[in-house]
Amino acid sequence: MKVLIAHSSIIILSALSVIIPGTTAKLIYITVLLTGSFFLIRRLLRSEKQKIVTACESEKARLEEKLKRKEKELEEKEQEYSNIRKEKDNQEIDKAFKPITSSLREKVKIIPVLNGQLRAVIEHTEKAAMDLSKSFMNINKKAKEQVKEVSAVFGDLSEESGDNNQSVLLSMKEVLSRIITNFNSVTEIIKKSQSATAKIIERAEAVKDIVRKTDNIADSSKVLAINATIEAARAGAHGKGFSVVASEFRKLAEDSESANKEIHSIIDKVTEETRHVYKETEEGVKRSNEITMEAGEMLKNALGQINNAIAQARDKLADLSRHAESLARDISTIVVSIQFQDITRQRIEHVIEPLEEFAKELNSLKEELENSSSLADFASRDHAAWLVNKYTMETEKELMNRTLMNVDFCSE
Amino acid sequence: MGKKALIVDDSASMRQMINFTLDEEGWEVAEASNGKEGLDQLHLTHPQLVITDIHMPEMNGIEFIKNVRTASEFKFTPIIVLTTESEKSMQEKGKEAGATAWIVKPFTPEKLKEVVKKVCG
Repeated sequence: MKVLIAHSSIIILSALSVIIPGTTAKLIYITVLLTGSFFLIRRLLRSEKQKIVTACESEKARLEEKLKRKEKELEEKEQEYSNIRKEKDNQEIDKAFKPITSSLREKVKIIPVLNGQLRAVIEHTEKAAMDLSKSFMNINKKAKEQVKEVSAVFGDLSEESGDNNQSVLLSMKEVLSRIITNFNSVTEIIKKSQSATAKIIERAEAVKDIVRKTDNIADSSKVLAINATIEAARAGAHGKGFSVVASEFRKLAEDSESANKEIHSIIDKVTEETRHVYKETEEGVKRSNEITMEAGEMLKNALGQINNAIAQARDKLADLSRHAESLARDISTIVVSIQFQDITRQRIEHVIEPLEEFAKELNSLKEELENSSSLADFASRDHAAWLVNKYTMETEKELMNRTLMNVDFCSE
Repeated sequence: MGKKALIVDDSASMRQMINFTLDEEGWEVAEASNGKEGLDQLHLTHPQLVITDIHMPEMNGIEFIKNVRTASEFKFTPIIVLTTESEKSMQEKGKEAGATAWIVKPFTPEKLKEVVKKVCG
């Protein structure tokens, strides 16, 4: 409308310019007219532009709203499609798994039984391990005690103990040495006795010389008494008293002779007996020397044998100690081996625990299958990562990784 | 008074083997089959040495060690961990909790004796 008014105004004003007289006036009028027309047209254009922009923005908002609606619709359609697909998948899975659901129901019941068996194995092996370790530890203990006891006994027999008490064998050696010394002493005593006996014989000979002299005196006294008796007889009555004295003197000489004979006899007897003793003592010394030498030799041999026995016993003891040490080492190895029961127990437990969780999951899965639900959650689970968290031993992890290299059971 | 040690392990055969080994060295031994029982025995026997497993029911070894260290009496008591656990990260956890030494099973009696001597001075 405004454009029409503007156009009409310009046409009317242009027609007026024809009517206005004079060229200069016409030019001024046309200039004013053109300027006015320019501003009027510009204003009209701005107004129109604003209208167009407003219209465009409105259209854009409308279109955006429409796009959003369409997008939402698309999303809903997709969701619907996904649900239909999921339902279809579920139906297919259900169809595929339905035949094994009943079988699964039965198999799920087996897992606790298997776990029970494994726990029974753990229990039995643990008991066996305890019995074994107890027996071996006792053997080890007894072997050590035996070595200790034998060492103590051997020490008592052969070595000096710390409390100033001599060992039995050392005491025996000392006693035997003393016996040899005593034998030597006895021989010396016998030798001295022999020497004393020789002196007795010597003295007896000296006494015999003296007695021989008294024999001569007795003989002379006897001759003298006979002469005195003859002389007394010659003197007659005056010689009677003298005759009695001579007679007594003769008797005394005879007694003296008789005593000398007896002394001779005794000295001879003593000398003979002493000689006999001397001879026997000489034999004794000889025999004693022989016995001492023999005993010395025997004792030397005995001591040698004792020393050999001690050396052999020491060797045997060293062997016994070595065997006990070897036994301790073997038992140490056995102790290490027995500990594999504990390690095995833990590994079995690491099998039982996931199996128990599997059983739980299979139970819920079975229920889900029976309720026509999905297997997707179970299938999407990362069992390898789950097991890694269960395992604590390097060997378990290594075995799992080795197995995974060959079998990708997660994707199956 | 004799030296007292506490063994905490859920395996009876392991407890027995550790017991024999310590007995040879003149230790008087108390036993527990998990961390919870271990704490009871700890306050009952006041041991100078604790040997514990890591993976146990009721209360595991790490929790047990943390609990032991909270008692001022046992702040410096040597604790040897004897376990099948060989993970470095778990060993670090044990160390942070307050473990003194870590032995991975299987162990030899000689090895255990050596570590006991080392941690008990």
